[in-house]
Amino acid sequence: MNANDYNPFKMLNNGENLPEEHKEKVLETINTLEFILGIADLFTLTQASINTEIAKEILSGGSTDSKE
Amino acid sequence: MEVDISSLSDHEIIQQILQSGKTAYFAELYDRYANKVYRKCISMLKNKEDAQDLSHDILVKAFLKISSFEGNSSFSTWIYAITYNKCIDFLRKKQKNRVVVYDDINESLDIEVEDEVENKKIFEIEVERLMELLHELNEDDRAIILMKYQDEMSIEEIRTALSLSPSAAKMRLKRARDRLRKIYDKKHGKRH
Repeated sequence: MNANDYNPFKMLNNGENLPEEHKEKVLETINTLEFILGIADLFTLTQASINTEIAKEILSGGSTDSKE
Repeated sequence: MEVDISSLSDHEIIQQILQSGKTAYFAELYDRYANKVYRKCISMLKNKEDAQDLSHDILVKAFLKISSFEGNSSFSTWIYAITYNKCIDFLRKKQKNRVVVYDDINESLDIEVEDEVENKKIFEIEVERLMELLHELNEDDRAIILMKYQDEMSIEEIRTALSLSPSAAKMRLKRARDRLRKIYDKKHGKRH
């Protein structure tokens, strides 16, 4: 298609813009979700490391009690 | 040294987001694409309130999933694909029982020959009538027409966005275009 050709599709809703406050709302939502995902990751990692420690303990024969 | 964000390409901004995660980079992408996404949502949904809400969800989803953008297409193509798919899902949820059946297989795929003539006919439609005509089509036809004629996406990009085979994408585009033209001729009379 030639760049000078009339294309009605390119003109559809051209005058429509989002309200100013929309941007703030989107960026706030992203920040909040990133925060929540970060916390969730932290818990998952902490839980995973606790699980690893427990597993290590079990595999090593759970000898902590007998040593005491 | 301070970087002038507005001078960066989309790909450079995305690299910066992945490295630093700074909100300022999201804000720049928002400025570049939010209104375009919104206008597509209006074209698809007609209702401005729904379009605004859905634009919010689309932009949040795109920004949170930005690490999955592989750079095989332009960022605009990627975010428009998310936009059309979200709009189609939204409309389908609204009208749960409608089933669109496509029979893509047993038709001639000799479409390119007709393409130029048919495109010219499509571009004869007046912009004032286009919105009304688009909303006589189903959501899949509307999306594929906008992808082709508004966003100038290639068949490869359309098929990737809509998870179709190349022949199915070509066939759907042809059918959508034929339907649009038929509705126009029926409503406003044949002029050729």
